[in-house]
Amino acid sequence: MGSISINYYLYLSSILFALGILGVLTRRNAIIILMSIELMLNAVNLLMVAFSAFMGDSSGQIFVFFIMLVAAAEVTVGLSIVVMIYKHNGSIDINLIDKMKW
Amino acid sequence: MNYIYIFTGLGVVSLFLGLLEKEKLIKYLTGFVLLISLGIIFTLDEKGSYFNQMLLADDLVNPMLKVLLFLGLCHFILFYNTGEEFKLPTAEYTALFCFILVGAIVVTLEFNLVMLFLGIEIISIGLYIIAAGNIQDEKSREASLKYFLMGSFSTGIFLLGITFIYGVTGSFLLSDIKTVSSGIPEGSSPLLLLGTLLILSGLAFKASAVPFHFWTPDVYQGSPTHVTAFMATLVKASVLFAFIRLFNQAFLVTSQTWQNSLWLIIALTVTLGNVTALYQTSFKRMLAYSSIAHAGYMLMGVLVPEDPSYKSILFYALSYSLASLTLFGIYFLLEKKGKADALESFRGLAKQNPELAVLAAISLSSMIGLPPAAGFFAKLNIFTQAFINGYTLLVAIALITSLIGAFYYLRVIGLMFKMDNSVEKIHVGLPFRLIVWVQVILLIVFGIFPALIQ
Repeated sequence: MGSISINYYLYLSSILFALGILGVLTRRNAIIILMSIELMLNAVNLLMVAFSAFMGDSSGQIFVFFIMLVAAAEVTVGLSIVVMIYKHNGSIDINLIDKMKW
Repeated sequence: MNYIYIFTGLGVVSLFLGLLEKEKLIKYLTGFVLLISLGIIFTLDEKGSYFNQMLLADDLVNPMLKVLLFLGLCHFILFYNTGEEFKLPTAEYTALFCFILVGAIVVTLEFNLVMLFLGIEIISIGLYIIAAGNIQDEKSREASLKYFLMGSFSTGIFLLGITFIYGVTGSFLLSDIKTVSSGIPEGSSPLLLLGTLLILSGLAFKASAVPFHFWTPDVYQGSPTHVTAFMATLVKASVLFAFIRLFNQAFLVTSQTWQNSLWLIIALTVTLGNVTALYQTSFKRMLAYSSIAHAGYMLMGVLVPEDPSYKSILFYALSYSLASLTLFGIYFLLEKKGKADALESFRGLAKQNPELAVLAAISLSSMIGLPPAAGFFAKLNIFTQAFINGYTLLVAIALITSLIGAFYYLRVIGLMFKMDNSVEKIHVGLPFRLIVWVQVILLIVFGIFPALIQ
C-alpha cells in the first residue's frame, strides 16, 4: 500500500458510492439504475479490500468474492426482469411503470 | 443446520424432477420432507456452531426454527395448487420456495455478518423471481421490478454498513464485533456509528419499517397472493429474528445511538402503518400497511435486552403469521372466484360461508389484539417489557395506534357479516380447511395458554 493512507480509499469509495446513489435516484432508465447499483457494490468492494489489506486480515477479501458472486446472481435476475418488462411494455422507463402508486 | 442441506437438496431434486415432468411427485415429496423435518426438529434440538462459527444454533434459536418450518408447511399446504393457477412451473416454484426457506434458516442462525448478507440475498433473489409469478398481470411484473430495484439498492447500503463495521473492528464475527466495539467509548468512532446506522437501515428496509417502507404496499399488492403471504409471514419473521440476534449480540454496546434511532423508526412505523391502512380500499394493500405496523410492534421487542425479547418477538411473529396466513388464504379463495382486490369482496361472506367468515373474524381479532386470540398476549408481552425497560412514551404511542388499527380490521369483520343475498358459495378443499382450522385453533390455544410458547 506504500504511503497512501486509508483515508484516501475511504474518500474514493464514498464518492463512488454517492455517485451510485445519485444515479439510482435521478435516472429513469431501469438498466442505468442497475448499473448505478453495481457502482455502489463495487465501491463497497474497493473499500473492503482496502480495509482488509490495511489490517492484514484476509477475511475481508474473501467477503468481496461473496459480494461479486451475489451481485452476478442479482444482475442475472434483474436483467431478466427488465427483459420481461420490455417485452410487455416496449419500454424500460420506470416512470411509465405506474399501475400502482409508488 | 441439517435443514440447510435438506432443503437445498430438495430444491435441486425438484428441479430435476421437473425435467421429468413429475409435478405431482414434487408436491408430495416437498410436503413429506417439510413434515418430516418438522417432526425431527420437535424431537431433536439443533445445537452447535457450524462453518467455523459462521452459524450458531443455540437454545434460543431452536423455537425460531420450529416456527419457520411450521409456517413453511402451513404455507405450502394452503397454497398447494397455486402453481398451476398462475401457470408457474411447479418445479421451479417449489425449488425457489425451498431456497427461500434455506435463506430464512441461514438468517436465523447467523453469527457472522457474511452469513447474514448471504441469507438475506438468498431470500431476496428468490422473492424477486416469484413476485413476478403471475407474469400475465401487469401489476405482478411491476411489483417484481420495483422490489428488485429497491431491494438491491438497500443491499448496497447494507453492505456499506458491514464494510464500515469491518473497518473498525476487523472482524465479521458478532462476538468479536461486540468485544472490540465495547472497548471504544461511545461517539468516539464515527465510522462505527455510521456503520451501525447503515446496517440498521438496510435491515429495516427488509423488515419494511417506516422510512424504508415505500416498496411494501406496491409489492404486496402486485405480487400473487401466495407470494404476498410468504413475504408477510415467513420472510418477515426471519428478518426480525436476524434483527434480534444482530443487535442484541453485537451492537448492544453502541447502545444509545441505535436505540434512539430504533425508537424513532418504531414510533413512525406504528403510526404511519396504522393510519395509512385506514383509508385503503384494496385488501392486500391494507394488509401490507398492517404488516408494516406489526413489524413496528415486533421491533419494540428488539429494544429490550436479549432474553425476554426473543420470546416475545417469537410469540408475536407466530401469532401474527398464523392470523395473516389464514387471511391471505381466505382472500385467495375469494380471488379465485373472480372477486376484485377490494375490501368489498368480503361483503356477505358469512351468508354462504359462515365457516370462513368466523375463521377470518378470529384471525382479524387476533391482529387487533382482542383477548381470546393469541394477538392479545403477544401485544401484552411486548408492551409490558418495553414499559418495564422505561420506554413509556413509546408504549403510549403503540397503544394509541393499535386502537386506531382496530378500526380497519373491524370494518372487514363488519362487511363479512352484512347480509347480502347475491353472494355465491365458495367451495373449500379438504387440505385447505384442515390447515386453516389448525391455524385458528392454535391462535386460540396460545391465546388461552400463552405459557405454552415458552
